[in-house]
Amino acid sequence: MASILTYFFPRIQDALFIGTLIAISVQGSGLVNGDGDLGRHITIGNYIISNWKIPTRDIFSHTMTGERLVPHEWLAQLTLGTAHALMGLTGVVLLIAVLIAATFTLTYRELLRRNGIRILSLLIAILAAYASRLHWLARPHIFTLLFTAIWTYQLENEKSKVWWFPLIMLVWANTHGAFIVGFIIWGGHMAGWLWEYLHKQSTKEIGVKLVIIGAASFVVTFINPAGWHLWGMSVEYLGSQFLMDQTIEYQSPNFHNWSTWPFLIMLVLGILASSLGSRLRPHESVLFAGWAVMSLYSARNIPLFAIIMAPYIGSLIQATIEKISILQQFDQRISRVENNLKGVFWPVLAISLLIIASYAQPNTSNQFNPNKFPVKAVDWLSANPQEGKMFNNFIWGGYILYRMWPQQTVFIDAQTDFYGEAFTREYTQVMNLEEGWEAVLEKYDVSWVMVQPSKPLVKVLQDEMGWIIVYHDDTTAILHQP
Amino acid sequence: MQKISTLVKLFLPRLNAVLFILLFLSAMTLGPKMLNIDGDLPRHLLMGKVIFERVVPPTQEIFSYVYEGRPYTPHEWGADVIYCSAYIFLGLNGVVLLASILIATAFGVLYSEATDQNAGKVLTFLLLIMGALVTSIHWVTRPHLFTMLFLAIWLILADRLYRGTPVKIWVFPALMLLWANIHAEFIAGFLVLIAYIAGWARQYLFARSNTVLETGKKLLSATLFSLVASTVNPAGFRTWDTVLGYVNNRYLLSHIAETRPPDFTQAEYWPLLLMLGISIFLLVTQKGKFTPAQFFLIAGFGTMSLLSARNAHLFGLAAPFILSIALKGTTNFWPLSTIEAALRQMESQISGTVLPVVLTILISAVAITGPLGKSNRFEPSIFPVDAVRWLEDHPQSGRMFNAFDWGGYILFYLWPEHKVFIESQTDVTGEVTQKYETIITLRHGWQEIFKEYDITWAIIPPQWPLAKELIAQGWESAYQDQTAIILHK
Repeated sequence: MASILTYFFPRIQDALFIGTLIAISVQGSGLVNGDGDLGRHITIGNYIISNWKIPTRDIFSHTMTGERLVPHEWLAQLTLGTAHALMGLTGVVLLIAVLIAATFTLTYRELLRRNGIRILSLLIAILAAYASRLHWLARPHIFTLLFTAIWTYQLENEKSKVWWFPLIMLVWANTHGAFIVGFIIWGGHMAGWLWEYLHKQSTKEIGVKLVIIGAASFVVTFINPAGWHLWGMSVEYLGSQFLMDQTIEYQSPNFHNWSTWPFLIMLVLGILASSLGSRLRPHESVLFAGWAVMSLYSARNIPLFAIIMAPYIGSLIQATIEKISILQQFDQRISRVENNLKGVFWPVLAISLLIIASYAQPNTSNQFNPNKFPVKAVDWLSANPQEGKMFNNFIWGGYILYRMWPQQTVFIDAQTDFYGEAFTREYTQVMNLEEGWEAVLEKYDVSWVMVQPSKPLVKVLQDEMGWIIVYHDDTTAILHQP
Repeated sequence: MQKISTLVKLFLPRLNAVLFILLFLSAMTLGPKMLNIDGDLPRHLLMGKVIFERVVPPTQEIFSYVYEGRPYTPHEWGADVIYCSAYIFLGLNGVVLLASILIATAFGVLYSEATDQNAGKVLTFLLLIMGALVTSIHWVTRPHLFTMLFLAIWLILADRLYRGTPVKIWVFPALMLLWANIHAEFIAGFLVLIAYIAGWARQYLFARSNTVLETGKKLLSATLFSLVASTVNPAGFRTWDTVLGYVNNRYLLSHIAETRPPDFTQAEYWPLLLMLGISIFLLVTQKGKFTPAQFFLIAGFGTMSLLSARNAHLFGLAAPFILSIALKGTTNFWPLSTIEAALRQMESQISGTVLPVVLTILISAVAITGPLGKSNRFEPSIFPVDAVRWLEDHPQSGRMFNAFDWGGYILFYLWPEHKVFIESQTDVTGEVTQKYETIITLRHGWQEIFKEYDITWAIIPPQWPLAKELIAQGWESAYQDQTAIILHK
């Protein structure tokens, strides 16, 4: 094949990357409207770009102004802010799509590295992508999916350089609070090595290398704008059962919902595949059982399970698939063609075309949904600014910041790890009209409220407290103190 | 080891007896909780009473005026009769006693079988204790406790058949005949056999040296004869129809608490989570020790427990039994090996029967006659105890609307004078449950449903928005206490 042409024919991994990229890009609205976090991240990103400064004290709420803010996602916020500055919400969607597509392309490559069967690798990578789909949102945790793939697959590769790991961790720890995942995976490898070493199946050198990787990576996590507070915040947040209960994504998967079935299929496939020819290594078994338990406990861990487990499942099934001669022959033919291809061109072309297309014909669906966010109400507020401090639904906090900060600060937004348990309890006290809710509004000197019209708070404020509805639509009610 | 005296030989318990007593005592202690978790028991007791009076189980709806006269599948009539008999003899204490015996026996027989197959005693004991904790979320005085015992026996028999140990094939249909007339989860028996057949087929096709054709034939025969036996019940084939219709009804499955998936953020589900984790870890690390059928059973019942929390009792029985058998010989490390050896030597010298029998009788007597026995009652804070007492003295005319969980209790005391709108077993299609949900959430059309069924009075919790709404519409409170309010049009 002419050498130049080898760059122009797509490989399976290119097709997977482009397919995932397009599939996610056209569903951008779901990524943007999945929850209320995005607005806050873009706002902080914009602040960093404008001021060349990472905020370490709160400047976004009127309830916690000046409190220590641990900017554990500042690099992700900067990236999201940049994408937004360049291409608006379409830029954010495109960035997230590239991250997800890259993650599962890496998963495919790792599957292929381990089992060598392209069709099997592709199918399992697609299954893993589907399993992780329930947590595809335009938020910094998408970076964690990519870092998990890089970290895990590098740890699996005995040829990986030690210095590579602290470098990844340095970026990860400044991008998303779930960098702890890297240490959990490392712990699984350590446990596996210990088992193998005790059974004389591994060498001391491998253990030393793992210890150096862990220690060096741990040290670099302190290189961030908040220093050791980064660990304190992460551990404190995970230790609060109340905050966990308040967050839907931390709840157990609901298997009556079809979106959890790809995970269930992966889990059962993993178990049944274990009965086939191959055997998992000790660290793989530890990680399989451990991540299965963590994913069953909290659906948020399912995408990580999918990324970590996919290559293991491929390895377990490999021996059986190899016995199917037709499949084997077909795969060999593809391999012969693919081995001469260099790809590269197609993913670059796909991203470029998507960027050009979004400039030529902006995607109007990549917007905040007016049925979910107070879009019209904020339009109205821009024309009719309200005096005094606001109480707002926490899901809307990010959107209000996105549209109105710095003119308007919020009562609360979805960054519950910053607001903490005590304050979040005060917020729920008001929303649920629990005893003493009026005192909370007084304590924070709230003079107007912006919540969904169906909330009992609206009826009580209006009927019993004499507050006046100054704005009302299907999504939002704005009430003002008399 | 020193020689043990004759008296000690008689009284010293074996680990099996310790397991039985421990679980029996736990279940007896949890009696008040088991009676009050939901409102099914009183309905079962009433149905048992009706069967005693009529000699044959009713095959038409008699408890709810909404479905009155429609075909009814009495798929639990056997359990209703047995629970009612226990109630007749010892009241609710008898019901708790029966439930405790069922639970403890189910795990007891599994322990005996596993250790007879040389599984480690300590390991089996610990796994079964964990299995009991898994099932404890579903320790309720209802017919599924019979399924726990049937499943335990069925697992043992199917496993013996699979391993080639002589088992009379007729035992399967005989057992299924009883099971299918006692509880609808008899289907679990078929799932066990299907797993063993699939496991046998895989071995026969890919590793023929490990099995023989005869085993497959026996497993198939047991399945087919059991299938026929399962249709020998008052409703015939309709039992299958009812059960399969229910498990395929997405509305009912998503609206009934126990059929929802387990919420592992709740501590009560942690034993299930732990058992799942241990099972996965052992299956992948000790794969050579498990047969394909055992893989299928654990994966199958594990998946079922994830789809619906009420299946946890199936997994909680099957998983520890399979794990303990598969892991025999893997506990030969200190200190487990030393304890194991000591136990085996000691148990070989003792009869181990007297103390369990004495303790069971003693615990039963103390529990029934003591303060615990008095606690075995329907809680007035959960059921409308005082309201129903008032209704006995002041019968209401017209049709009632009632809280779902109270249906069985109201029927138990007020049937046949009063029939209910809904209770836990009437609705197998979800039709009435949807109407019930519309009413209690005051959704659009709730008043039309009241008119449709000509409802003239309601017995519901006083804090429900429906109570406030009915009062706002001019309904009058005829009776009210902390638990219930009776409103009349």
